[in-house]
Amino acid sequence: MYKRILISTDGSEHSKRAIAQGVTLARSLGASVVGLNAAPSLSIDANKMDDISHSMEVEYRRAVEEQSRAMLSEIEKAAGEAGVSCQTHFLYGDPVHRSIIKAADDNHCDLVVMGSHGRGSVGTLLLGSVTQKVLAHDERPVLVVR
Amino acid sequence: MYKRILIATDGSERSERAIEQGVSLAKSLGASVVGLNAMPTYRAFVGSVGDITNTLEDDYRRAAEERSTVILSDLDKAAKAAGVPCETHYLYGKPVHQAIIDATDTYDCDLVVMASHGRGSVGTLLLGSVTQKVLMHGERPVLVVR
Repeated sequence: MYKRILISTDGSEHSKRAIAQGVTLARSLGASVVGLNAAPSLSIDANKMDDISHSMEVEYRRAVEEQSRAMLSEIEKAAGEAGVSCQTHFLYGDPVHRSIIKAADDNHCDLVVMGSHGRGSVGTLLLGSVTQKVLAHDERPVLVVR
Repeated sequence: MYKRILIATDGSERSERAIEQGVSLAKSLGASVVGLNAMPTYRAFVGSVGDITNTLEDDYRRAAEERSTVILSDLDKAAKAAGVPCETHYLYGKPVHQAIIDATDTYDCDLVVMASHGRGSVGTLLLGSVTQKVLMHGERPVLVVR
């Protein structure tokens, strides 16, 4: 069955459940896990204020990377406890659903596991926009976890 | 991991792939399969014209049931061939996504496997409308297969 499972997280509650299910599934199938956090770039309309927007972006990136380490270590920890082999990646840039699909391609994953909602959409949408876009554009099976 | 996997099919080509993946996943996990085909109520565009409407609905119901028998026996065969325990059900009369969600509860399934698109939407939508609604309104994890 599935050999390499990409688990995408943005640190949300739904993502935590996706991690738990993805890791358990990997253990049951003898598959390995690729953990991913893909962050969007900072979008500011202050195009003309190059210096300011640049320094803001540097700061934003630093914060995002720090946060990402925490999110990815959750996956590493869950995989470690389950005895599932695991590597993790951080991707920065737009659009996020493309980063997820690219990471799945680059790492030869045959299944994507993700939450039905991420941080952006809880309570506002019935189905998160990133999840929806991955479902629309990825050729692989996607396990959507609530 | 998953113990009872609901596989929803409408007989489309993509559904066949969902059946394949759902059955091999069940086999790998030692799970059983619940096969489901659901058809919505007949809706005549002509409103109510008494006898004619009834005849049309009778024909529709008969045709739907006949087709369902074929669709579900294909699923049953696939499961039997893999040595996976399987039961199948045909549901008539509810919106299809609701039938799928209700069947998941009724038959105590912990995972839904379905195609990204069914018969209605191939080529027109990025994600089929029934699949989308199951993702929005269901509580269980959904494995979406292309």
